[in-house]
Amino acid sequence: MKKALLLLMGIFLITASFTNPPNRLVGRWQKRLPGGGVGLGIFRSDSSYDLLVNGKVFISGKYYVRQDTLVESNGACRLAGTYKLHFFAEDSVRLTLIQDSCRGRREGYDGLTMGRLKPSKP
Amino acid sequence: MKCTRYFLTAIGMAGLLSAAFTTDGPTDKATLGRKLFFDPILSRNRTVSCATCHREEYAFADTSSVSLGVLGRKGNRNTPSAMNLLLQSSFFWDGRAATLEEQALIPIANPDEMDLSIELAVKRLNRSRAYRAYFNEVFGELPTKTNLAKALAEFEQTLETPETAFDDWRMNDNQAAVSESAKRGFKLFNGKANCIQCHFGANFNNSDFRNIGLFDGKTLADSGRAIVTKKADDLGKFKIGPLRNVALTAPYMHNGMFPTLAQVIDFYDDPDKIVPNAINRDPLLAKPLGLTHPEKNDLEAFLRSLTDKRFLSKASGPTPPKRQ
Repeated sequence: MKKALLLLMGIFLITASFTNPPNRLVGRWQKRLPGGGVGLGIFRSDSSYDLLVNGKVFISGKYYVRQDTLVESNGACRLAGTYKLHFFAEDSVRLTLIQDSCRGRREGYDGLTMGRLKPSKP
Repeated sequence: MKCTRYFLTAIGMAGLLSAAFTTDGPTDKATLGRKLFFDPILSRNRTVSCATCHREEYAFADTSSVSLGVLGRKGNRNTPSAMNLLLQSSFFWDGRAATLEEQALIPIANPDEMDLSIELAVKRLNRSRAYRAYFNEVFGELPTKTNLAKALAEFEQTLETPETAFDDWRMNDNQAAVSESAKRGFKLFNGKANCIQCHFGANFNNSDFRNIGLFDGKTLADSGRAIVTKKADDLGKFKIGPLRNVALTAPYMHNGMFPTLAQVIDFYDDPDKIVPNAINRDPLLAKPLGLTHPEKNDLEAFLRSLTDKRFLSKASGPTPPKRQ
């Protein structure tokens, strides 16, 4: 009995270590832009995302998160970009560059800090 | 009693006099800019205003290949929309103005457009009792070159149009906001059709200038950006056009050579078919895209979803015939 319990616990621990934690980026994130504009990032659980500026879609694409790493691709940049995610509690995140050959995205993302938007009450 | 009556009469007279001199005109820069934008006072013969070519119902563009200025003088480029300029970093097809204020004064002085020197325009405004009062109210000073440009620029900055079916779909996850055809079109825009390489950003244009193959040095001889930079590399390059409200701003391209969106898409699909001897065409357009008729229709449906809701009744008017 004791052996079976230990075996079950072992299986659980191994499974847990190979399972990705839930994607903490899913949701809506906001950033105040210089000049009074507002940036909005929408990261969906189906791996699609949109970035908007002042209510206008700026760029759309695909992303995935593995632990603390974000990999992002869109039609305007030929190759995917990789960024490290630093979460401060659950309501703010900063991106820092790991690798990205796309200059425009690099300039926009590296050092970007966003605050999570709380879902509005119905 | 008599004294009171005189007093009341005096107050009444003062009220009437002050009403006669009070203008119920603009009280902020943008509203003053709007008034100036629609006023032909800024053209030599007082017949042409900014709004003559930038017509509100066509998303502040117009329907001619090239617009007519004072005395019916023909310009040489298509009128771009005056909307969604807030995030633009250059203005005019060749990018000759770096700020909205700089841009605002150029058509006034252009001999083919409004043909009025800025000095004369400012003098005219100063001769107008109404404008003197408006500028005093808004800027605390009489009309000058600087505050004239500022007022026009402030008005143009109000012409942002973020309320489109497309934005509604993406921002609110409202799947019903756009048709399935428009959704397929958006996928093509980002993929096979490769439009996103140049048309990305909040207004679907970045700050680049590109030669899309509308310069052959013969029948198509507008050198574009090279006029400003004097660089051979910039020959035939033009500012990438923003796409918001594009369904309303026909005809298209710097010279207005394509009357419909369908023709624009046909051109990008296979530029050589339309302009066979283009000089210095961008390598992005080196090969035909190979779009099918249904794909072209989908792309057009996507472009039509970029129309702001303020124009929706007009844009949803006659539906273009589908390709077979």
